[in-house]
Amino acid sequence: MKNILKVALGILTSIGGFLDVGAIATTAQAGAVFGPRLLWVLAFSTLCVIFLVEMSGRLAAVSKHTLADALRERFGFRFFILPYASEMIVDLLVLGAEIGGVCLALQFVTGIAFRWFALPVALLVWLFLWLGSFSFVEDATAILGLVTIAFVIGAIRMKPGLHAVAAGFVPSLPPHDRPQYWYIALSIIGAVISPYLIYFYSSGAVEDEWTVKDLRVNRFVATIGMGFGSVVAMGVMVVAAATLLPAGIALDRYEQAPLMLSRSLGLAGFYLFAASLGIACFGACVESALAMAYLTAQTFGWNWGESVAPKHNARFASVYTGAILLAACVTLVVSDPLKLTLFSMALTVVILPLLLVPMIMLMNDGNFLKQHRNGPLSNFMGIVIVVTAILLSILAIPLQILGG
Amino acid sequence: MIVHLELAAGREVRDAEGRRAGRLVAVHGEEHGKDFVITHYVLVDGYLGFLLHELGFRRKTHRVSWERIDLRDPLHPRLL
Amino acid sequence: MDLLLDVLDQQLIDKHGRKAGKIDGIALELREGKPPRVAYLEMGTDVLARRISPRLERWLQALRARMGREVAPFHVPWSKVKKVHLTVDADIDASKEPSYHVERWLAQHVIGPIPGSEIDHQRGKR
Repeated sequence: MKNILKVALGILTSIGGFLDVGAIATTAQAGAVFGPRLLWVLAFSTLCVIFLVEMSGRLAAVSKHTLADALRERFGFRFFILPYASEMIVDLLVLGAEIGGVCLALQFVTGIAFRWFALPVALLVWLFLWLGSFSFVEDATAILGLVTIAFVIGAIRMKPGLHAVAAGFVPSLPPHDRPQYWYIALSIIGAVISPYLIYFYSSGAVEDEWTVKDLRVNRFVATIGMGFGSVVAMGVMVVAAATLLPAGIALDRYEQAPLMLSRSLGLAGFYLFAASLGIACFGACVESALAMAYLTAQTFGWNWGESVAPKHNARFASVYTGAILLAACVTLVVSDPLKLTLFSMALTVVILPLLLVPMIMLMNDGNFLKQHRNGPLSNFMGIVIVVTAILLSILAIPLQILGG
Repeated sequence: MIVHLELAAGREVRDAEGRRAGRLVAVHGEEHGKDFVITHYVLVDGYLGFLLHELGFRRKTHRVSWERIDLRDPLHPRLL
Repeated sequence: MDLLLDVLDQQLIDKHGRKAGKIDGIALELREGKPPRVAYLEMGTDVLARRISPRLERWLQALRARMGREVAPFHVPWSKVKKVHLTVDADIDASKEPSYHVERWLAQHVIGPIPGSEIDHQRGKR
């Protein structure tokens, strides 16, 4: 059934976009330092992302334009060069961090330093994009990504206090270390609401040729897809809270991370952690590299498409090839992939309003969306998201200094 | 004389005395046989008004007929 | 029809239905005593650079001259424009235009030589 393929897009986007090295790192750290207290931040971010992803899918289905297409066409080049250029820089850093995430997973399993894996991993990501079709990339990452359920299983096995977990969903003030609390909160939002995820989803919807008939499926996919990633991320936070917090392990060194699952699932847990981290980050590599190529091709009006032979979309293929190569160099050069991750997420938060403000306005444009413009609920959430994004953008640098 | 219209988009239009007349937000025209000719321009007052208009909010605009705007220097359109 | 909203920055589609870039510029012909008419549509990095800043455009041109590569700007006369709707459809062939030479060069010298570059997964359409 075609609808199953659409759910696959949702889950893929979720594995690569929602659940990536940033989401795993921030939710794990949140759990290790503050227990399940920051679950409300994760829940709020999930809600925001579900609405944003639904909007970008609806735009693609109704107007047959991707988000980047529509933004340049509606707001002009002089405006769009800003979100475009900043997004390309941030995505490159994110791609470098995600390659680093896969390398870390391999370091955990083999003991060989992560740097040695940077070029081989980059090559593998590139091969996936070069030889595979969009459907293959979608389905393979979605199926492999199911291994991340290990975090949920691990969380359940630790028998966390349900009372504390439920209380975590209620917004609360920090019990201690106030700047660090808000800094981690901000990083979670920056890790979850990633622009590349939104650009990728709308491009995927056009690749898969969605139409007005797919609007209901789009809502379903956005919710289930992002929901899946969110539930796994909650699992990460809860299992970290249950295993690392009582042991006083604050996760300031990434080598401590696999303990989350090895304590609850034994040796299998250790390997499941590495597999989950590796696959989630691999999905993110694929997504962010493609997002950079989609973004560039769509901004300049070139032909694009993952399923088309690279020879026939040479510029498009050159962008993802060049991006993967450059990002691998970044991975080779950084001292600590986690620091790169946190930095790229803070940067994401800073540039988020540049994308979100015009996007919400665009979703009210009748030329693109005809009678499927934003309803009052989407616009209400749009305003909440924009206000949050602007606030965070201003607070990002100070919080990084105070709480980082 | 050929001028690059895209450079004039969003620029402040001033009159002979240098007073502001509004920012250029639209260039309307119609087909005349094989050609497309300009009929009128649309201006919006103030930078804030311009930003809000471009974002999609409804703003008060001025319609100016084609012969009243001099585009020879598209970065500095003149109101005649 | 508003040139700034409906033509500028819109996607250009060639006669084979292929994407031929976004319309980066519109050249107006100013005439004595008559309303200005659209001479041609323009595409190219020069045009984009000029929109950001004239200095950037001059820098880009100097760079190109130093590399010995002159790229003719891509002009689409208004007479070739067939329809303006969500896209601008024109009676041109994208692959014959000078700026397509970047695509061709990459296809020939960078992408093409890598094995697997001709593998296509489209399900028989387009």
